[in-house]
Amino acid sequence: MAVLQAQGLYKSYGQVKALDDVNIEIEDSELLAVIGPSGSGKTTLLRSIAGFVQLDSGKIFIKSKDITDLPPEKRNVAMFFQNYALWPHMTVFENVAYGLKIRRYDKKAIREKVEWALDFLDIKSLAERKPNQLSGGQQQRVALARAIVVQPDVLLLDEPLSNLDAKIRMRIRFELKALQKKLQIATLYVTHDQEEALSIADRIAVMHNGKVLQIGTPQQVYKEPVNLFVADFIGVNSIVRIKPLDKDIVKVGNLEFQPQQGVLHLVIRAEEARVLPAKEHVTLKEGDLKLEGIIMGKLYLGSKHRYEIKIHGIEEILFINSEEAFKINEQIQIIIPKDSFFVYWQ
Amino acid sequence: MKFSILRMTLKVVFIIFMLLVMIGPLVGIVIWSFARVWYWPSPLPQEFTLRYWIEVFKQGRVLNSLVLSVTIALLTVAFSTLLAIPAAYGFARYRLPFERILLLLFLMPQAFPQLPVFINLASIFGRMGLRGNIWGIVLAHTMASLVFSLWIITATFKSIPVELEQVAQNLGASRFKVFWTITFPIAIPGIIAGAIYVFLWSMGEFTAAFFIGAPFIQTAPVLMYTSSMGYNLQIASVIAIILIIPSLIFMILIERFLKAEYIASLGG
Repeated sequence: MAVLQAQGLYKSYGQVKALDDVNIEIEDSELLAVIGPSGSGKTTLLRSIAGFVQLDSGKIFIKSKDITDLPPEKRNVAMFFQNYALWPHMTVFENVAYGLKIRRYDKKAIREKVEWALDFLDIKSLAERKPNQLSGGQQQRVALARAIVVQPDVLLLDEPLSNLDAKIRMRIRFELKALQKKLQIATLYVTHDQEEALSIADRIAVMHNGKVLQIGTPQQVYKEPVNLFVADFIGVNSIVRIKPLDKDIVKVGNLEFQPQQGVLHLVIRAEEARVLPAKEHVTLKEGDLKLEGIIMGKLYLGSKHRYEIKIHGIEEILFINSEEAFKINEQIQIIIPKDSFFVYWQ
Repeated sequence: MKFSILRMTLKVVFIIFMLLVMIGPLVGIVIWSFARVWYWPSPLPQEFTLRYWIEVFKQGRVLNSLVLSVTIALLTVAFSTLLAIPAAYGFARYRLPFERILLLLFLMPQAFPQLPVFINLASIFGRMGLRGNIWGIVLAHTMASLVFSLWIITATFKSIPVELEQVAQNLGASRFKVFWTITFPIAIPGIIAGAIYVFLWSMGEFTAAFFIGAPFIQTAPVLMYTSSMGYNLQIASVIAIILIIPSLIFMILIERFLKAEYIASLGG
């Protein structure tokens, strides 16, 4: 059963549509990641579920109960703020205990629950410290403990990893996922980082200009993007735009396409394309794309190189990584498996 | 090596110079308070005496006026702060119509020369029966000092990220509860800073106290003024020194409580 249901949410700020007919559901103990570029409406969606945004129209249900018109303090959802928002005048223990005190638990129950939460997040030793004596990672854990200790129906995470440095972020991703599975709380996870979303989410909702463009598992969204925007936003890509010259067939490499309205956009998953010497013989599978070109430039990236490639007959330059070493001006061919490129007319 | 000695010397000279600038005028007052006879151009008084200090402490007049000043200042602080807190919260958290104009309106009593403002106020208070009693002075001081507490406390509330309140609300606290458990405790340093400022301003305020208090009420600054006008410079000096004590306490407290960011967000 869906824990959270949002139906037909609309919200506009002046001319800007922050939410444009948004419908999402989160199942029990599911982690739904909402991704999109800044200004896509993902944070507005999260804040409207928390009750900090007044919707123009639409309904939000939590466990089948309509909470659309309830004030923030009456919804049992816990929000994790991007900047942690720990209270500077309270210790870690007091910060975590706050929600329980409001709910009028007795002293003993509060102590037990707070200790459980601090233990769960491995920060028991910090209980008596003030927030300004904690590192960024520790503050993040305290904020998380404060949110989960009240046993919310839905956990709302607003860019939880964006204030951590890259190395810690990688490790925390695993921890966060394990944590969420252990707690079994329905979670809405807002991020602009598609890689983070792919690795952590059960399902992903891609938002753009206030609209949800696609909802699906990470595999679905990655392998079967519904439109150009989703295809381009997920993964590391190179895009080629080709304007059909006449009504004839458009030829791209070894493949031919029937012309349609607009311009042909070819999105190539750069991490799955293979670069080979032009002379090497390859047997193509049905539907694979082969492009021929010339190396224009290269960057050394440690385990691999990043190549700047000019394709014959196409103006735009492709950027593709490969472990093999090529020289500048060398003739090469690029093999792209059939589910690693997408064609859209726009 | 030579260079660093030169720098050291310059540093010491600079510090002594600054001390002279800051403390010099005070030294004059201290000497005057002990002087019995002091004719120009002698650098020090011809005769010293403790008479005036003893007189000040024996005569009830001076101590009474000090007690009166402190009482008025404390009442002013109480009214000014209590009025300013809800108003400042409104200014800091809600988009009020004509916000800037309203904020500037509170500046009005301080924006014009004090003499005409308070003489007019005194004549109005006279008709209302508020002249010659301390409530008149307290009211005038509260009106005039509201701008200080309002601006300082507004800046303090503005410097508190709104997320800190939203988390509490998100965890189930009502708006009222959020204010008392989160916003107010975090704002206390700023509120104290505002209170100290109002206290000191009221303690030293002369014009309103003189025109509205006359003829029955004599606050310390008024007494100091009348004594020095009556060529009793020694008594005036003693009162001046006693009046410095709250300022010193203020300096110590301000160092502890007033953070740069409160001032930085003033009017922002």
